[in-house]
Amino acid sequence: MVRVSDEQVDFILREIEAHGVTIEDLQRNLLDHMCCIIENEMSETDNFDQFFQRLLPRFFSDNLREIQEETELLLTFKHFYAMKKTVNISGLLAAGFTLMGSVLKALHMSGAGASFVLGIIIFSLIFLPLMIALKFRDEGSKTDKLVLSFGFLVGIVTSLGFLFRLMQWPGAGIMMLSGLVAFIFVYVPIYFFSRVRRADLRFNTTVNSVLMMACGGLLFAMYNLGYSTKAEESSQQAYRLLNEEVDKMDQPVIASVNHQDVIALQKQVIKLNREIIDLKSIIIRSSTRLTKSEYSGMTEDQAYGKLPKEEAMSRIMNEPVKSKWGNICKLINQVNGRLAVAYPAQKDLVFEISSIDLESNTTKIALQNLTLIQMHLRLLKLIAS
Amino acid sequence: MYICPMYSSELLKGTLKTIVLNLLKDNGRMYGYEITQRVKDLTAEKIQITEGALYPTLHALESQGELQTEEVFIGKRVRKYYTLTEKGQSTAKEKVNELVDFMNTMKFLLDLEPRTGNG
Repeated sequence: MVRVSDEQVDFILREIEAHGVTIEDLQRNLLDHMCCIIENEMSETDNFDQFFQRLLPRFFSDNLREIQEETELLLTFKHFYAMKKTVNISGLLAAGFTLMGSVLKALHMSGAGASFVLGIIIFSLIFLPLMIALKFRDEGSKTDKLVLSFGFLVGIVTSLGFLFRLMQWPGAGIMMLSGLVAFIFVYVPIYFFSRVRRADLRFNTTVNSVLMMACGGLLFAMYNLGYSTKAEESSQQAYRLLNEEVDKMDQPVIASVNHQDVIALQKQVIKLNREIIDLKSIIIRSSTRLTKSEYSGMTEDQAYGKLPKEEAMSRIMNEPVKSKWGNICKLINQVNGRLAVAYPAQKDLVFEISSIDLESNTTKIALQNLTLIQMHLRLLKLIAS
Repeated sequence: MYICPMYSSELLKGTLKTIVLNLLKDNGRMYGYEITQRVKDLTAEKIQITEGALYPTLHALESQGELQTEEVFIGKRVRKYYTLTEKGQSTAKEKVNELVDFMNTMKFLLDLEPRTGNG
């Protein structure tokens, strides 16, 4: 039996590499296999080079790299199934968590935030990237691959924007806005024009484009439905002006009042105003994350300026706010009672607390309503003086 | 896929995994060249597995956890021995049963053997 020398082993290995086989494991297998053939089938009189040149074509029909390509195909085929399975599972999990988050949020139960975060993370960091990878493998046309992958990329940015918004991390606004703009004004038109010319895809493309445009447009409209700060500014300004005027006349006038009922009313009004100021402080601080000392170091207008724009859309009700608001409602009824005693004829001045539904108010609307009550109190104070 | 003097490659497609797994079940530890030679001997050269078909299949079976490997140095080169894992053992049985069932069905379908039993 012929023995393959070390030099011949090196030579065969170089040949295998030169023929494009790069997987080391496969190189070793082929090397050993070729050496076995040489050792078992080559006679002592055969020329090594000639025998090797005859042997090599036994391994392929066109070139040796076919073996590596076949191996890679079989390996990725397995990954492909694993990926599809992961896409299915992660898609279901993302949908499940998001649904659970919505239900928990609607029922004001704990765990809503965590469910949303999990759902969005799975969706944007597992589901969508895997979809890009699968589309790159599945789609035949290069344009389709790029267009669909771009769409998923936009989806990742937008959904991460939602996550950042939920977690109140910086950069949420720009991510959501750029994602939505890219989706509506770039992705949907590219998707439509790249496919609509193909007769077999025309109907589906048109329907999908209309659906995407409608959904994207609705989201975009909601995003742009920013709370108008003008109304809020004007009510703040009115309150400030009224305050300044009343402050000017407050002190000397209060001193001159003697009637017990009026004094009781005034005291009640002052107490109520203090409670409202406290409640505003709680609401603003919880939204702006300002500390008590930071908050007290600035004017109410400055604190208002710190409110995030998206607070126009979020509800404010939590336990401290609820109990404070309960107190205020009681005090308003007491003030109304005092008012009826002190000024029985002034029925117009009774404040209808039922007109304010603070529980369903968004942060900014709630603050505006509280300012409205304060304005009313200022008026009462003015009259009571 | 196969160099096969007797059977067309279409006929044999899909049986390579079964052949490899069953050989390893019967022989324990084998390396690539050994597998090709054993198939050639057992079938009196009617079936010859090509290297181009064998190694991709061995790698795929290994990555699926059906096979485990052991490397032995022979001079300057490395020989990779394959053995079945536990998973591979049960897959081998399943594959053989499936093939036997398929062959029986084909016999019946082609009317080569009257079907017995409840069929």
